[in-house]
Amino acid sequence: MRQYVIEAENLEKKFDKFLVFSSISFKLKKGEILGFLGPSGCGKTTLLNIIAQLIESDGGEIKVNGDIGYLFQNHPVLPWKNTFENIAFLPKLKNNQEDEQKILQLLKMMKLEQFSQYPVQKISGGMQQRVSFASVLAPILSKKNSILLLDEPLNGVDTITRERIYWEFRNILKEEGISAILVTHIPEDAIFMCDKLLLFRPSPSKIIERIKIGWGNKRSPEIRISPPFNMLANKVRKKMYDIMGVEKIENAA
Amino acid sequence: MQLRVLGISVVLLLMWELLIIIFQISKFILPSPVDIAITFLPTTTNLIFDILVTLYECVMAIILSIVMGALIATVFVIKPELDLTLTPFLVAMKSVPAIALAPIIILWFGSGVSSKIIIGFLIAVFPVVIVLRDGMKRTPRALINIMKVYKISKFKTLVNVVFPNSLPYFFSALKVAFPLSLVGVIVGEFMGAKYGLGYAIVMFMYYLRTPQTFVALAWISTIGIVGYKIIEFLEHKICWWEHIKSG
Ligand SMILES: Nc1ncnc2c1ncn2[C@@H]1O[C@H](COP(=O)(O)OP(=O)(O)OP(=O)(O)O)[C@@H](O)[C@H]1O
Ligand SMILES: [Mg+2]
Repeated sequence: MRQYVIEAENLEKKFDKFLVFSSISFKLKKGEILGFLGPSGCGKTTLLNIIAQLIESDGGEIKVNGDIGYLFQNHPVLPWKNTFENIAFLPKLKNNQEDEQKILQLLKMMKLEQFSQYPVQKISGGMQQRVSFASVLAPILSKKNSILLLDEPLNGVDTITRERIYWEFRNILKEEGISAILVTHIPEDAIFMCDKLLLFRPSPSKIIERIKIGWGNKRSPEIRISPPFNMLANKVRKKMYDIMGVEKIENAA
Repeated sequence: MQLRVLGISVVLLLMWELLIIIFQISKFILPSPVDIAITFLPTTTNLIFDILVTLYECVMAIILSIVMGALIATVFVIKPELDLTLTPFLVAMKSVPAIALAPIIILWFGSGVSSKIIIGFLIAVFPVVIVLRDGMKRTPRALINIMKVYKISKFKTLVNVVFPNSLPYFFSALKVAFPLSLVGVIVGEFMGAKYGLGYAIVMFMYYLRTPQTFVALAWISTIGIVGYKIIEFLEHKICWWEHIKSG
């Protein structure tokens, strides 16, 4: 039996009288990548905030066993620092030293080598998102019990770059045995990255489907163009249609 | 831009000169630009020590207000309870204009430079506290939360996130506080001093040497303008990221 790094039991959250979600239960194994999929406003960010102990749940229990890293939905950069310094910022504060080799490796993974000395306000929006991504990753790499929470990362990054980064990122997570929760609205990315998906319905939200992704660790970007991959993606998409309710989609149109 | 400012100044001076010629105004009431120009150099030579004294008092007052203001603001941000209990007192103090306290300050601290520094400080410190406190409080929630998630101490958060983020506010505070401290210093010199431009104005007016008074006024505004420009220059150097044009 592998150990669990997160155990959530019957979590419930209300804002005033508004019930965001209830009876949320799930477990995250060490080294596992879990995906959250659900409509806008169903409480995914709220759930991550509870895991990161930024807010408290109104019911249930959560056990977290490891160091949390968290990429916020609109993650800020530090405008008074350049690209390199932004990525080195948290490791420097945590250990009073920066591991230059590690930062350079992250710059490379995020395809930002040429922009290392640029003020972050002089790089593009998608590049800034990559800087944020690298900056939350830097302090937990090579920590043995890390849990990374990612709230819609790389949204403004072009498809090809995003898919490459996800691939390299997945390899790093697996090599280092880092556990992660990924929130994304793109079924293909969720399927590519995750070992398990949780599908949420709109508020008052619940987990209404758990999907295991059975491809193990041998994934490469080519898998994305294989028919089984796309069949699974469409299955997930269909589930999301059902969750939203067809008449709701018609109403929105 | 600079040329336009120069042009407007020249036009205004010409109109001033013309007005005096047309209405035959005595130079004891309003001296013409030419009257002032004639006495400019000799008066300035006489005033050098006073200029330096006023400059010294003003710089000390602004340094004191910034240091004390930043300290108080930081304490208020770390301990909001203190902010809640003490700010009403500050506001009450502020509603007695610090200028009105000037005679008492001079009674207590004498007619030397220290009383002027204290008056300048009392006038300038309040806006520094308020601007810096609000600036620090406006640190984006997300930045503070990142530090919480990564378990970085409150002290490190203050030094590495809150302070740099509020630097632009620091310069705004300085821009408001500097002219205020100059006003305080001059008023202090009016009320009882041995040196300084405020004192010089009182003396010139006593003997109705109005053109000389205008020279002293010119030096006061020079201190004000040059001080402001230096602050602006430092702001551009230190808060460079505020001045990057984003697309
Ligand atoms: N601080 C708050 N106060 C009141 N209501 C809140 C607060 N934060 C979130 N909510 C509400 O909780 C619900 C869930 O919000 P949350 O941000 O968790 O959704 P989400 O699933 O992350 O959505 P998205 O996919 O759009 O990011 C929303 O209806 C939102 O209005
Ligand atoms: Mg969200």
